[in-house]
Amino acid sequence: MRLVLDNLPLLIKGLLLTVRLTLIACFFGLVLGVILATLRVSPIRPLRLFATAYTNFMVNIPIAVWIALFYFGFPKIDIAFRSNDLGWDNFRSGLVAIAVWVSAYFAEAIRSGINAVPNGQAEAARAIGLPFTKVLGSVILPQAIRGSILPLGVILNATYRNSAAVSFIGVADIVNVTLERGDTLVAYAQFTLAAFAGYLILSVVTNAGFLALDKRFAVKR
Amino acid sequence: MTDFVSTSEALVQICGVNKWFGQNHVLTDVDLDVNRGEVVVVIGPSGSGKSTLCRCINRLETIQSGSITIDGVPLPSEGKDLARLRADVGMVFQSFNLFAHKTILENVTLGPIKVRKVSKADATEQAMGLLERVGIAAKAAQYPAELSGGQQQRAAIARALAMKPKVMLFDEPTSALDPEMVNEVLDVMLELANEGMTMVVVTHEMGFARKAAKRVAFMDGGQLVEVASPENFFSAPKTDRARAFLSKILPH
Amino acid sequence: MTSSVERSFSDRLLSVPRPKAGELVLTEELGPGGKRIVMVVSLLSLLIVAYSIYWMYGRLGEPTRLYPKGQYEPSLWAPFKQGTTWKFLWQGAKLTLAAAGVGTVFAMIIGVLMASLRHGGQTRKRSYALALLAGSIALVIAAGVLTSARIAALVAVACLIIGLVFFSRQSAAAYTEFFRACALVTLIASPFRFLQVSPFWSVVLGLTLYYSTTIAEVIRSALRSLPKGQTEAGLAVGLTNKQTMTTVLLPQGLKRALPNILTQTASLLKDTSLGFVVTFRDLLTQSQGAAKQFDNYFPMLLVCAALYITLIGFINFTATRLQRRSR
Repeated sequence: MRLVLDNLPLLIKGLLLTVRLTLIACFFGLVLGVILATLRVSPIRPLRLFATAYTNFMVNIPIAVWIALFYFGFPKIDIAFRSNDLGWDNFRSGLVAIAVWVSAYFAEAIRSGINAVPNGQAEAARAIGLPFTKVLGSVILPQAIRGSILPLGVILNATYRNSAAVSFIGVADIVNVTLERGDTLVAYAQFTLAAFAGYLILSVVTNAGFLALDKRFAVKR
Repeated sequence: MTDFVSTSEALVQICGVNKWFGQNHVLTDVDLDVNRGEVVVVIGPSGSGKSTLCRCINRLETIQSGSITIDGVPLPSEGKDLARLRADVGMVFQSFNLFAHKTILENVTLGPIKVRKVSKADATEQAMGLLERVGIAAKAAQYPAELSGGQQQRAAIARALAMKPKVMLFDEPTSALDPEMVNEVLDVMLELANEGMTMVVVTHEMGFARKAAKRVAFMDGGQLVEVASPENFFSAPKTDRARAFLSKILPH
Repeated sequence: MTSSVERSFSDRLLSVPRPKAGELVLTEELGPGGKRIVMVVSLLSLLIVAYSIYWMYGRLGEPTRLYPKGQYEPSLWAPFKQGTTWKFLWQGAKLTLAAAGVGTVFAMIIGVLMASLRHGGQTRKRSYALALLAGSIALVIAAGVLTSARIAALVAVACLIIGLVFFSRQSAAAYTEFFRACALVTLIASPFRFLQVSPFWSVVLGLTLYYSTTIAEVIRSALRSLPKGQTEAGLAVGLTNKQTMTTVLLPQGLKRALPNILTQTASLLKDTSLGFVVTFRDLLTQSQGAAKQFDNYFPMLLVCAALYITLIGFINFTATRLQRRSR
């Protein structure tokens, strides 16, 4: 126990880093995901194809490979995510990699949310004379967003865990702290348990939040 | 000259309409005029194209040839004009299609507020009046999923009426209802017909056709086979197809 | 006016597809003005995509300090002309595939077991189950502190088996919920560090523990989606609980769960790349090593990504084939 207590600041720092990484990445990922989902349901075929290709590209390549590509690969063509002049920052590279990666998952969730709105809802909206923008804004999107609350929560939860892949480029998130500091069995077991508890807290809080949101806003059919 | 008179009276004019779904010819040369204040009931076996015809009138389905005119204006093909026309044509669906994320009251006021630009207070007052009329004012604050099918359909009628439409289209309004709820909806429709609303009703309810229809239109295989007054149609159908259909549905 | 007008290529490129049943028609059938807008925006977006590709092409060729031809510098691509490079990468790909294959088989076996026990196994008094759980944890910790990690792991497995025999539903639930909440990286790292397990088997073990829980959840929700009458009918014709599960429920549930199980398999294959924490020489680690040696990170990682897409594309291809056949 002493060991965990002694290293508590480090662990908390690691956990907060995981949270920060995930939340910022998910924020940008969500924005990108909404755009991608819009492209995927639009009547413009080239845009649909582009968004589909993007999604398949992201989803079918492991996140660790994306992180490696963003950290080691892109700086070679002068696309680097610098925080200062000394070099590129591993936190930012990981962040951008996770954001573009998770956006594909968000896009899928939102797209299926849109597809889950029954066709009759759109027809009824058109039948009372709403123009296209209001059919979308007043009837379809509100229902689609309410319908995808839980899937979005699931993705956020998974991203807490998947973000551990940034250990590959040495970002000191909670798992990385565990791996680096837990050199004896007892120490490792304690760190692992601490990391487990950390993830558990995150997922319990996230689940509770999203369940509450869903209960408040979900559309009853 | 008589032709001219009849066109000026016709509120909905359907002229030589053809429609295909892929290879499937679902409407063949359909001609039908619906006069102001008239109730036309469209009947026929399932798959005869009657529902499709109804949905063509406010362009929820497109037609490949022919023309549809409403109050002298040809059906616009898109955009603001189409939306404006649809606002004047009320539609009641088989599966109600109430907006699931809005309360019954919000369902009824959405159109007037967003399309007619009525103030919220006026829209609410009018909506409450309509809900009172269809007998579900007490349910105004509830969500569609909390209502029975019959109540939902009456709310859907109120939603359509709130737009003060020139004509009301009913696309099999009672087909998705449990038997005990059919009458509460038909009663509202009957009342509406007696008040002089122009209506096109696609239905399997022959009782309603007898009571409310000015004319009955019989469709089969995508064609409008026979149009007659209900007395003539039910007692002395002119065509074999109508006779065959009636012999199947009327009690022995 | 004919119904089956031969549609031109541009028509097909720009047309709105007829939605499948249950799919939303976001835009209704377009009028002439709408079609024109769609046409113009389509052409515009094609231009933008084409320009982006052109820009990327130029960007890759921009000279840097070391390479006057940018990433097109022949020396950066030379390694790909040697068979040894490909052999090196293939060794990694082989390990990736092997770990994924073995992991999938194990995860499936445990997943099916856990799902069926959790769905239909027996429950006993909750207080007894909790007492067993607490006792097991104490025993495992004691074994770890007093003896070695290996003994502790054996004790843990023994406790789990005892639990599954006597408290099958509760134990399966505890197993699933526990390992689902773990970070996969730590599950992979643990056996390597403290059980002296080889990198390959550490990866397999970690993946098995984690993915058996996700597969179990997928199967369990498929089982729950079966009509209740199936169980009742099975019992009514005189099958035991166990027989009903194996002959009536599982065959139907597995069939329903198949698409989602294959998704999990693809995900498992991707997660073999987390083997870097135990120096597992999989496709990613090999590519990374080669890139370091040749100093061609960008080309090498692109090739690595392409190889992963090929491998997972293969699974997805099989998945859609299977799905089509099972229909």
